[in-house]
Order: sequence, then C-alpha cells, then structure tokens
Amino acid sequence: MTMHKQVARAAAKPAHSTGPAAIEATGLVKRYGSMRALDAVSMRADRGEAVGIVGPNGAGKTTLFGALAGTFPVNQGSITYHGKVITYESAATRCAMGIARTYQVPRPFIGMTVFENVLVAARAGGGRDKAEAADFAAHVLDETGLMKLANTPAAAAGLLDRKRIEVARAMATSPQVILLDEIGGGLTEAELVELIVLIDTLKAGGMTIIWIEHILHALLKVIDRLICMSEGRILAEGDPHDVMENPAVRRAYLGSDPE
Amino acid sequence: MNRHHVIAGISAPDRRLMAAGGLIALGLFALPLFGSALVVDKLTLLMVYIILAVMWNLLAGYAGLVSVGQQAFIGLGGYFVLRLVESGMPPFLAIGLGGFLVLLAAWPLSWLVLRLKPAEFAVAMWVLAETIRSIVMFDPLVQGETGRSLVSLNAIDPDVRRTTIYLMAVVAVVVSLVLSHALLRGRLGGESQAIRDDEEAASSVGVSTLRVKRWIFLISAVGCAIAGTIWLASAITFQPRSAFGINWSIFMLFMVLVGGLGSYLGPVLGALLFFALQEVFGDFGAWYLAGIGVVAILFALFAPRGIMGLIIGKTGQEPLSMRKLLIMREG
Repeated sequence: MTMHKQVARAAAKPAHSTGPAAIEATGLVKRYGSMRALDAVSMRADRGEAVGIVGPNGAGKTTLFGALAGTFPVNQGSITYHGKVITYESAATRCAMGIARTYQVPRPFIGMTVFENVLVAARAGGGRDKAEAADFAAHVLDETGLMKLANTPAAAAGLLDRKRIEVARAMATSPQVILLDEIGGGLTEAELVELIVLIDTLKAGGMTIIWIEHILHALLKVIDRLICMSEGRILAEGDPHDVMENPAVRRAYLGSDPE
Repeated sequence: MNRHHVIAGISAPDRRLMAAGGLIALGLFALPLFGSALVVDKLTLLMVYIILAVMWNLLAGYAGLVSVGQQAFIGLGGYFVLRLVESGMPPFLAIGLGGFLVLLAAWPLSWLVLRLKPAEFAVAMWVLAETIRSIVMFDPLVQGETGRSLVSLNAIDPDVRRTTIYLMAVVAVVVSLVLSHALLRGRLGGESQAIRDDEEAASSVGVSTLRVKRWIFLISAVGCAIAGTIWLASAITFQPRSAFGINWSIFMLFMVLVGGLGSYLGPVLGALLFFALQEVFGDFGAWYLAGIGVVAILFALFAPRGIMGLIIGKTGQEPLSMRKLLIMREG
C-alpha cells in the first residue's frame, strides 16, 4: 500500500490528474487456487489519460482487465470509477456506466452479422434506442473500417477484422474508459498505423485508455504513462521511457522477451 | 445530416410469406365449419407440436438454453388445470389460467437453473421435471400412476368441446408466432443471440445476461404450459407419466433440429414433418420411434442445419430471417 503510494508519487503524472481517477484499483488480489494472479495490484488512470501495460506472459495483465471490467469477482481490494465504488457491480452494469473492454483472443458473436455484433453493444451497453443505435453502430463501423462487412456473418471475418469487431463493439457502448487487450498483435505495420490513428482519435475525444500491448513502438506513440507488471504485481510505473530503462523491467520483460 | 443508416424493414418476399401465413391462419379458424371431427382433433395435436417447437427453438436456438426438461411445464400446466377444474372452475377458464400459474411457478425456478453452465442446465431441467412429477404423484387427486380425468369436460357437448379446444390451439399458435417474431426482431432477440454465442462477451458489452435468459425461460415455460393444457384438454385424462414424459423433450429436439435450429420458420417445418411422420408411421408402434431416430440421424449426417439449411442452400437466403440488415437511407 505505502509502496504503491511512493511509486505513484514518483510517477510523472499528467497535469489534469486532479479529482478522482477515471478508474482506480486498490490492493486487488485474485487467487486461482494457491496461485495469485493479482497480488495486491493498485493502479489508476485519470480522465483522458492513456496508460499502457506491459509485462511477460502470465504477469496478470489480462486478469487485471477482467477484474476492472467485472468479468469475475476479486478476492480482495476495491475498484472505483470516477470516485464511485464498483467492486461488486456486474460486468453489464460496469459497461453501462462506461467501462468497455476488448478480448485478447477476439470473441465475436459468431451467429450474428458484424453489424448485429455492434448493434447489440450500442443498444445494451450504450443504452441507445433502436433507430439511434442503428445509426450509431453504422458510424462506429465506418470509423473501424468494417462498413463493407456490415451484413456479413462475423464467423467469416479474419483475424484483423475480428480485432476490429472487438474495438467496434467496445466503442459502440459509448465508453469513458476503454480497456484494450493486445489489439495490435498479429497486425502488419500498415494496419498498426491505422490502429494508432484510431486510438489517437479516441484519446482526442477525451476517452480514458488502458492498453495492454507487446508491440512497444505502437504503444509508446499513444500512451502518457506506462505500467510494467510481473508475477501478479506492478513492477514499475511512470514515464514510459523511464519505465523501459528500469533495470528490473529489463530483467523481467525485455530479458525474457526481446523485441 | 441527410444520409443515415437504418435497419432494413421486412423484405417483399417475407411480406408475401407473412400474408400467406395470415391466410392459412384464417383457413384454420374456419376449418371446424367443414372439417371432420378426426381432422380437427389431428390438427389440434399439430398446433400443440408447433407451439412446443417454437418454444424450444426460442430457448435453444436463440438463447442457447438447451433444455431436456420442458415437460416440467407441460405437465405442470395440465396439473394446474386439473386442480382448478376440480375446485369448481369452468374448464375453459382453467385452461387459460393454467399458463399463468406456471409463470408463477417458473419464476422462482429460474433462479435455481439459470446460473448453471449449459450442460448442467440441460440435466437440471430434466431433474426438475422428474422432481415435479414425483411431487404431483403424491397428490391424492392424481393417485400416483393412475391419474385423473377432467370429468367436467366430458359434460360438455363433444363437438363444442372439440371446436373450442381447437380454436384455442390455433389462437395459441398465432400468438406464439407473432410474439416470437416481435421478440426476435427487437432488443431481446439480439441480446439472447449474443448470450448464445458467448455469454461472457455479451455481459461485457452491457447485456444483463440473467435478465435476458429469465425472459426467454419464462416465455418458453408459459408457452409449453399452454401447449400442455391444450393437449390435456383434448386427451382429457391426466397421467403424470405421460404429461411429464421425457418423450416431449425428444419430440421438441427432433422438430427443432430437423426443422432448423435458430431459424424462425425451421421449427414450424420440423413440426409439420414430425406430424406427418407420426401420421404415416404411427401405427408401427415401437418401430415408429426407431424410424424417428433414423430420420434424425440422416438429418444430422446429411443436412445438419435441417430443412431450413436445405432451403438456404437452394435459394441462398433464409425465408423470414431474423437478421437485422444495415441499409443506408437518403433524406
């Protein structure tokens, strides 16, 4: 707890970090049997801030997203959203409040069309009525480059398009905080550029972004702050370049998994 | 902004199909005027099958809730009608009220079963049906295996009785088809399909999964109960072993899988095929059941998406599809 505070104080925080964080986790613990997937993790993201998360496989990054999004309950700790405690809210409620997530391995609704995938998100999570939701879903499809696939089955979409569906579905819920889980993986350099433009647009619109990514150069183009996780803990956080220079980070992350 | 995107309305061919469906319904309403007693009775049974197939498809095909225990509600509907009639209620009123009582019973049960994983849900529903049957058999009125007849129905003129029950069955079919159409075109349709495809992902785009599943579960319970009360009214005798029989689930599974799981019209086609098979081969006793099994295997091997799959393969599109197509509109 005090450790975390020291780290947070040392971190280069953006100027607009007054008031409650957009989303803040304090002392999160998630156990699977005797294994601690999250071992007292505390982190925050301020309004409009873009936070990157790196770390070796099994560091607990995706587990952290599950905890923040309410996919499963945590064993200990608390989560607040704009200062309000949401630790016990369901995933659907958190989504309606404005927290959206994507999945590392895309999980499209395969019995539905691409448009229907996005439409259900716009109606359920976005709370829009039918006519408004259809038009908004179309707008999101346009922004994510999926318009030409709108009426085709999601099952027929390739990996890149499945990743786009993940982002489009999350965007359609009109989130204030978006959790992006390795959406850059498997993309070509040109596709990555497109993706960065898209995420920059979200950021410019005031959205809070937390992005787990292995592709550092893409991440570094967008984020304000970087968190490095290892073995269920936060190893370092702060200015992206400082974190990447941190010897402990280099040992845990770059040492085992050079770019 | 003068260009915007909307969900396409119902297509012209689908409108023609719906008009044809309306004409068929009118014909069915008029049938007792010229049809023989035997035809009316047979068609009542067909209506019961259609309702059951539509309800099972709503559960399994659209919400991913595979149940082998819907006979719980078929039997319970029949039992409630029996009880109400024995307490002095006019039989046709009791038939209407039976479905409502099943709604009240299914609501608490939904809390028990809907949190389970899919395979657990399927088994739990069967256990539930068997449990309810055992409890009903303790009722002195039912006398265990013996069962009981709706004696007050026998007091009504057979022609009036037959026609009334038949008309109730046609109304129930029309209502279940219209209602499920509205439901599937609406918000609940998209949400339930999302749950069917990936429940966790559905909840993370804001779908209240338990609420949606509960709606579908309750609608399907009431639908099965109404089918059960109509069936009881035409069979007159309530026997727990047949009213709560696993046969019902096997029939529903057959009709929906052979007709086309997760399509709007598939279950109706499946019910028609099942009814026809029963009419042609029903006299062969146990062999008829084996024949049903063979047909099911043939479909599983050569037409896994059922009759509807064959139609889509031929024509390239699904008649009365519940797909929501995005189109652009000017102005």
